[in-house]
Amino acid sequence: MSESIRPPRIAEWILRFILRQDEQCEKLGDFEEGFHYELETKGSLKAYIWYWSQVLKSIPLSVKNLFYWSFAMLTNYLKIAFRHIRRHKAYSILNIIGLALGLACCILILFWVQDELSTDAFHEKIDSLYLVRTIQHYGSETSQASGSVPALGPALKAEYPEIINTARFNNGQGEFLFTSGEKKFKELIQMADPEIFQIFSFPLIQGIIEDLFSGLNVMVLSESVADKYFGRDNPVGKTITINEEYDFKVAGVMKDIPHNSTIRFNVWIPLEFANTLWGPDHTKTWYNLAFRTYAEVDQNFDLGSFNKKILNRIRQSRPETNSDPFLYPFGQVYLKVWERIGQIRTFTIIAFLILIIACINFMNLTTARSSQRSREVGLRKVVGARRTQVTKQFFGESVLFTFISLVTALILVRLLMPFFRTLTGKPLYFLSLINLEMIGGIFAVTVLTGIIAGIYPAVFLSGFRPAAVLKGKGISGKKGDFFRKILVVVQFSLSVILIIGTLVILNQVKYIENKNLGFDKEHLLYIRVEGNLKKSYASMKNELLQNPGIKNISLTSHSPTGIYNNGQDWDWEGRDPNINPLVTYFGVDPDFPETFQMEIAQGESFRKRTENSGLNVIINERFAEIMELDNIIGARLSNGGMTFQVIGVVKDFHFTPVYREIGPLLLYHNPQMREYRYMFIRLNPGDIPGALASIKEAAKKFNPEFPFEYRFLDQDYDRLYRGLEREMGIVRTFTFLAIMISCLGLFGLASFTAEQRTKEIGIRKVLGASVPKIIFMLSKEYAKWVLIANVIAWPVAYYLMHSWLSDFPYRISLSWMIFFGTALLSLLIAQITVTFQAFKAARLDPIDSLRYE
Amino acid sequence: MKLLSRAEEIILLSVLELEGNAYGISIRDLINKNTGVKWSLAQIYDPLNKLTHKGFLVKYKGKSTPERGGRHKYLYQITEQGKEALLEIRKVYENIWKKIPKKALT
Repeated sequence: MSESIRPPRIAEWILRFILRQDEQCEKLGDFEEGFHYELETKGSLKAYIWYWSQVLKSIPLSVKNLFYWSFAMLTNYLKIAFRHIRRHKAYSILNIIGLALGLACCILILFWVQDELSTDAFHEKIDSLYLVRTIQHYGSETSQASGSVPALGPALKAEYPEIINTARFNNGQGEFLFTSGEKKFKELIQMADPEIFQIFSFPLIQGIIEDLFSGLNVMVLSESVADKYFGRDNPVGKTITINEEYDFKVAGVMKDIPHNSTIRFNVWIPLEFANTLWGPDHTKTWYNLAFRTYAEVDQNFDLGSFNKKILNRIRQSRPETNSDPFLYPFGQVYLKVWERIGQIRTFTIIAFLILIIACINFMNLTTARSSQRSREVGLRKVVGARRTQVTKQFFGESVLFTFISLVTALILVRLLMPFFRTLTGKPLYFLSLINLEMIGGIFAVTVLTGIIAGIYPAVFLSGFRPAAVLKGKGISGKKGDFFRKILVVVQFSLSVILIIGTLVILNQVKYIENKNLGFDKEHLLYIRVEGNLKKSYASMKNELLQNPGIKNISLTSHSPTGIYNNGQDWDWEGRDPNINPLVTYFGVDPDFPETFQMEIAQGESFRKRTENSGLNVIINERFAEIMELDNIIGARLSNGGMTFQVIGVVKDFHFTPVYREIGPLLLYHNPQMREYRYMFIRLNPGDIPGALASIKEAAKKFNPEFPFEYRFLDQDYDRLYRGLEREMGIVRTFTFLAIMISCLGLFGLASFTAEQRTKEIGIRKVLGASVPKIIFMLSKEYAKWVLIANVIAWPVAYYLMHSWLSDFPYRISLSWMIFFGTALLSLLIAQITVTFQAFKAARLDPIDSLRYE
Repeated sequence: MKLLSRAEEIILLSVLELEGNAYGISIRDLINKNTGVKWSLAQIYDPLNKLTHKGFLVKYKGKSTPERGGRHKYLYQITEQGKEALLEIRKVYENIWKKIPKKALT
């Protein structure tokens, strides 16, 4: 036997690795003996092969054993964990509920974010769809708009091979009266090219696409509209009369458009029909930006070079234009053009702040309890647990807790879904929101939470020296105490930031909603001028004015919540050539300023003028500012061939939502230009139902074909801010939850401190301390930390809210009141939470707390 | 009591047969001799560990030899429980065999 030949090193090393310490000597010896036997009988090569094969054959078994033992330990850890939950019910429930609330918030917000991000994603061709947008140059300024001229779409398709298809929408939808047999309703109609049904995923459930191209008088109804008129009958081939004048044949029924679509309509008719309504060339011009054009491109399309190519296309057809078209990815329209990304980011940040607060809670409560578990750790170590095992145990425990919390959270989310639907105004359903990505996301967040929350206890507890712990010395809580206090400060800082943010947002929204619009929107209602009323509105107005319940009446081209008529290239004497403002046009009758109760800053209103030529205009203060004339009254404004004279300046009023800046405006009442669409009626407060009844009567008399409908203007304004209001509601709810979670943590921590100091309190009481004194002693410490948290949070909150507010042209100032108010509020909340525990501790009879010494 | 598995039974019998010289290599060789099948060492250790864990075998330290790289042998010895388990399985077999008619096999 040769001494020098040894079994292969690597194989031996592997064997050593897979064997337990206590069996190494035996097994390695056996293997080596076998190796030498083979060596002597069959030679070295065979012996090596034998050794290797034996080692490799051992691997599966040892792996199996490894799992077996890990599983055994795992069941032990689980058993211990559940025992702890059972023994410390209050703590465990606090811990689990805190985390569950945090996770539930996070999941709900993720649902919302997911829904926002999924906007328009249901279109199958989304990646090859583009919206044609336009850069407009106003003097030295430029602005981007989503409109484009109607002639551009067909030109792009004809001239550029990379454009497969284009489709145009008329901007805005018109309300028309539908008549089908006995049924009469008003519906909003979208005029668009039939190509939209090829480009977008608006599937037809009845009818075929080819029919949509068959003529001018075809229409597509959404499922719900079709149901309204035809019930269970097949609507295809049926006729609907629009405005008692035009007959349309239903060519198809489409599925209702999902809520997360930027393009929404219920009734489609061909765009070319606009030519019937508004003149033969309406959809063929190279000016009028009141259309939206979408393009589908092929794979060779390159956005950058294509936009360079088409830059001059519109200038060829209309050299004097100030508009440059460009293509914009349709998939980004909602997030970037509609500016949703900021909101989504804010909400995601809130979700993560809440999650962090919940994690900190969890860490605090776990570490606070850790000294009670030091004996367990000591014993485990004595019996042979390695540090890594203890670490693993605590990580495992915290992940287990997070999973119990996750299940609780999911149940909570499920229960809160109806409430969440009202809150967000989105039709969100639990099951439809759960998809693979979501499950993965939630799972990842949960494990991450568990690991983050488990880091401190795992590292801290596993470091205990068994000898010291078991001798009863315990561990000095000082270090842990300090750490916990830092965590409390961080947690409260986050809460303070959220409170300040909520208060600022709340105040700003209130400010926007209550800001003086520049006119009185109360008691102002309107009806639409349509059908016969287009001819007889003057007589109706005269008749209504006889009614004592009605104060004024004015006819207008638009409602002040939606003036979309504008233009530029205005000239006046002494105009700086670099200034070319975009002016909004508002057609009104002479009674407008009185009816809306607007103030005339300079000059006079239409009514006071004796000679009322249609060339008189009133401008707003903003426009007057831009014109920079010393003597604005009597100034001449010209555009194209027309010249107008300014007779008055009206005080600025909001004709766009208050979160937009007021732009230059021109009030005109030119009989040639006007088309009155609205009749605004100011009621005298008092007998409003009576006035309404007489208006209805008049409407029936002058316009019998159309059903009577009216709206109050202030309701329109409320609707305008409904989105803002909704988001406000979401922010408020989640801030409240975040504060609640913080308080849960503080509550647990306070009870822990009180418990730890039971003996001290007992002795103090024996020596004569009163209950209030002890409560004060226990709670003043938390007050100190909450104040520190406030001081840390203020600059951060100030910076954040300052930049948030800077997006609003009309905004509140950040007053110190908000900050001090928040400090007081947080102090109060913290004190209420802590005092409850302090009171309980102070009330204890010293005999009970000192008895077991 | 759970019945022994075939592998466990063979190993227990081998330990008995080897009378005080039962360890990994010798058990393996004996099994090879008796059955004609070559078992891998892992196939032997797994039942050995299980039997030790159940208390059917005890393990004790033996001598060290140079061909083991100076390591000690660990020898196995059967316990009373082990013997009972062997007798039990034998009884089960006998009971079954008894009930099988002789002509069934021919």
